[in-house]
Amino acid sequence: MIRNLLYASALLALGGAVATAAPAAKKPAPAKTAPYTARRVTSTVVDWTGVWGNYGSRNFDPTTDSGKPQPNAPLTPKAKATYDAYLVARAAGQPTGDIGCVPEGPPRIMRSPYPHEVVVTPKETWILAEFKGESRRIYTDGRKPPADLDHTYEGYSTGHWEGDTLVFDTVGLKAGTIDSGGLAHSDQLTIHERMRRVSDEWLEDEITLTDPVVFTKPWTVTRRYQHQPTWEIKEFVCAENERNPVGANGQTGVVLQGK
Amino acid sequence: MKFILAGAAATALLAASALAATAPAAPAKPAGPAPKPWTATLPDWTGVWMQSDGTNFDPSVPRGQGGVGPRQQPPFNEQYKKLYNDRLDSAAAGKPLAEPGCLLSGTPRIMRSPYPMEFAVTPKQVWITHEYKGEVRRIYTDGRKHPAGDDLEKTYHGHSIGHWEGDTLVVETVGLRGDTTIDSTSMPHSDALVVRERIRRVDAETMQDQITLDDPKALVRPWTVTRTYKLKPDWTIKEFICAENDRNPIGADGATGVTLK
Repeated sequence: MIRNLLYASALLALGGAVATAAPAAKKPAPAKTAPYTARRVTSTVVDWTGVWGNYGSRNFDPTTDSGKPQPNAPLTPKAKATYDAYLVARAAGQPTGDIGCVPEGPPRIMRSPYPHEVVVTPKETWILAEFKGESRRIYTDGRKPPADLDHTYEGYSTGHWEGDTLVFDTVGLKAGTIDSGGLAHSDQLTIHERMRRVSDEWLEDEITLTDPVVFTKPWTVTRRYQHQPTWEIKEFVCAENERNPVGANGQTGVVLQGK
Repeated sequence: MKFILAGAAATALLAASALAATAPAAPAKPAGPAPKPWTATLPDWTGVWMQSDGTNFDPSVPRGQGGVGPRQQPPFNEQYKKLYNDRLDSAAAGKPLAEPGCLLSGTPRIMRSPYPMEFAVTPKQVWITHEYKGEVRRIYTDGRKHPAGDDLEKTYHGHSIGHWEGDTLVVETVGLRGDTTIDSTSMPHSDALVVRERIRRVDAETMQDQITLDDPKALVRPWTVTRTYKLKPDWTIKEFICAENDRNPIGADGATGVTLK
């Protein structure tokens, strides 16, 4: 379909001509410089403009309440033992630790209680999280993940459009946590996501985790994000911790914006 | 305006929303169909852009080291001229002002960061995403105004609105904190700073940003510099984790390094 594919097809001929002539008049361009013609492009992309508030549980599995066990996770026996030990420690009030100012990364950032923007352009889509100012970059220009892949917090994401659905895969993740509720993943985790604006109000992300170390089979959840027409993404400076204060009782608070 | 969720209130609200997720309540307004895709003809600023002017804010002045060397000459008033020169003298004496560490560079300082950046141009908004500390600037081009009065928070990147004059993005940024610096020579500004920019792609491999600082508390007149950025076709923006300092290492001699591609 035409979505997202019109990048090269529609240069403005006049604009291109002007752009080529103007710099050349001042000083001769170096011999290797290609003529500058692609000044403007006409694009047709889905309209996901705006701020999307996360909806539902802070657990990765939105069918379970925040902080409650997530029995749907298809954990291997070893992973289950680790998770159960975490739940026991937490129930006993023992400190379980969390990640501080390093990034959440996917999939954890997708259940952050702070909102996101999704920036759709012809060759890349970015998911910009308010939480810790994290950015996910999803390349839709046909590239493949590099062979010498660094393992990073956000991993390396490539995707394509199926109609109005962004279908993308993320590889190259560091081992880390899946949420703030004790679920962990290995550095072999891969994530398959199908993101779509299902209505004026709702953006949906079907997230499938595949991790041979932690899961016995792929695990899919669907998370939803609600359009917040009166919100702007706010600055989040983890080093100042001003949006994520730790109260006297040790509980972490969340400072959101209202209407 | 904001509301604060903490302690019991947060627990109650999160529990409520978790409950709602289990059995979604009817949304407050009818969920109409998704809007149609937008079609727009916009300047093509795709790609990774790396500044080529050095890390002084004023690219016409070569970078000195530790307060030694040529000094930039913003049209400061007497108070800010003294403040800036005192900082440079102190740096020259081996006592530089502390740098921001893992706090943000903010605007305009990020525009001279020695790491690359990307643009996203859409009909209603432009984003500039920087590799350095993963900083993001949002420029609203949908006609909204700056928040008024107390609703305008003082932040590192302030509040930016813009419009297009042909292929030039004209940006105004207000709401900047007064305790940040304009570059790593500790050049000061006040919280009255307004940053006005004219950003345009001048040829296939060059982006230009004409940056005017209008700071009635610090400058006797607006001060304009023009900075240049070059397209790096083979680069991708890399992850930068300040908390791990992985891309900005401090060497044995105490000097801060820059790890590029």
